[in-house]
Amino acid sequence: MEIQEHSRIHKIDARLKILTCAVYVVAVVTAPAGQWTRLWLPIVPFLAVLLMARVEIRQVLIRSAVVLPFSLLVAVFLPFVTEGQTVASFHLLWARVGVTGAGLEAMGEVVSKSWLSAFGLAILGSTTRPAELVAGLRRLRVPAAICSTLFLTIRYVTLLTDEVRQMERARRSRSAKPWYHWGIRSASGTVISLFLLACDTADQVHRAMVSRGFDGEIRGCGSHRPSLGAVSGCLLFAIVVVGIRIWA
Amino acid sequence: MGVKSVNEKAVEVEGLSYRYPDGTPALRDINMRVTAGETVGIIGPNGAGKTTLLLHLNGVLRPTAGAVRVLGREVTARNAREVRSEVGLVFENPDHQLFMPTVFEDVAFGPLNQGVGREELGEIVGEALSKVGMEGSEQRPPHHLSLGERRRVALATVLAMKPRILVLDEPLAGLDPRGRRELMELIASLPGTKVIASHDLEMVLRLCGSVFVLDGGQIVAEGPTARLLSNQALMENHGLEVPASLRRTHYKTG
Repeated sequence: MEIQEHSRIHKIDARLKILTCAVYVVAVVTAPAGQWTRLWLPIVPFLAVLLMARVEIRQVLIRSAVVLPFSLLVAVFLPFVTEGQTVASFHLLWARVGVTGAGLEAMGEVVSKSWLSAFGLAILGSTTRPAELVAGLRRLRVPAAICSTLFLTIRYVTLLTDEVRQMERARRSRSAKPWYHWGIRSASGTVISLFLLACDTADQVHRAMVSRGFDGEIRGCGSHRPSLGAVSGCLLFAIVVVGIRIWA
Repeated sequence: MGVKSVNEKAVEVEGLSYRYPDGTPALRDINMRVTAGETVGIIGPNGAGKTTLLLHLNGVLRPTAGAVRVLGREVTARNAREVRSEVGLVFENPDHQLFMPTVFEDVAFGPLNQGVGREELGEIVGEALSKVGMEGSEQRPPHHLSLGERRRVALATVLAMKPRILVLDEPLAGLDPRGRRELMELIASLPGTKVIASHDLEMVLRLCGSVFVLDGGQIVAEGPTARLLSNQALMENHGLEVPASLRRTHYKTG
């Protein structure tokens, strides 16, 4: 995961960014039902942050879209089970199924809230180095075990991706077929090899970390004292978000 | 440095045996001594146990039997942290050693674990990178570097911890001739005690005063480098071969 530190937003203490993002997520998630302006307006200051951070918008949109399949899976039944006035109906096998207006609205809200939250987190992730993020969480008294697990997950996902890429390249050099034509036997063999390789590599990486004094605690390189300007900026952002949430 | 420190034992390994968790014996009754300031080579065929032995020198692995002493102190779970500050271990594969998003963070990882303050980090990282000729690469992602550069940065990650003993596992593996020559010169220029495990016998001949030949988890020979490496029977019996430079010397003198 590459983070180019080219803006003031990147240089803000990770703790401030985590707390500000938490305020935004709480404001979004607790928006009252049916109040779309209150739900969507907090994104405006975040869009300003996005522009200031000069982060690639496409990258943030792709990252935030990861949450959509999960939220859709949860919300897809709401139009059918929520009570209210039926706005449409159709036959599904032998039963007649009705879709309610309240259900559609509830579905829209669940999907919007999850995507808006993911959008905020994607900006946080795009403007903060993983080690700083984890060190920031640790300094906010999040248990060390959770922080280490998070850091190692980030690290090992990269390793796993590298292994997949190398295996795919080796496979392609011997076969022109795309991956979905490999067949179950061949694909399962690849998954097992990948798992064993990943375990071995993870073990080597862990040894390399331990040999340089890693004791389960992730220590970031960033400053421990956030600047007055950063504190003021984050406070202003939080006030704007909370203000929108209350008065909009 | 007084007379006492000249003969100070940097590393003492006594009766070291190690079995893998599945019970497979990896090392059997290893005894070795490395004097402070000395450069020692560990050679042997693949699977001889070289890497396993190196991992004992800074307490990453613990012996099943026997003991490892570093600068006079036995390596235990309690003092592993201090031992790791004294013994810098550079792994064979630099990709396993470089796990942070930037070179700066990777080089700073060890000093941060040692408790170095953030104010001093910039200077320490800069100094370590300049020692390996990689100054100016602080913000580069390690996976964008060439193998030679990654090997140098991996060395810097360890030098930043200011170890008194440097342990290098196959430091020149996979490098082109120029990269190999440059890194060999760099390693030769580094002060302190060095333990180098390698198949590159030309490098061992050039850098190491003495060698231990390891095969099947046991030390089968030890002595001055040139004498051992020119022993053709010994080399061939243990999956090695006399370095070309010694063969040439032999032909010239013979």
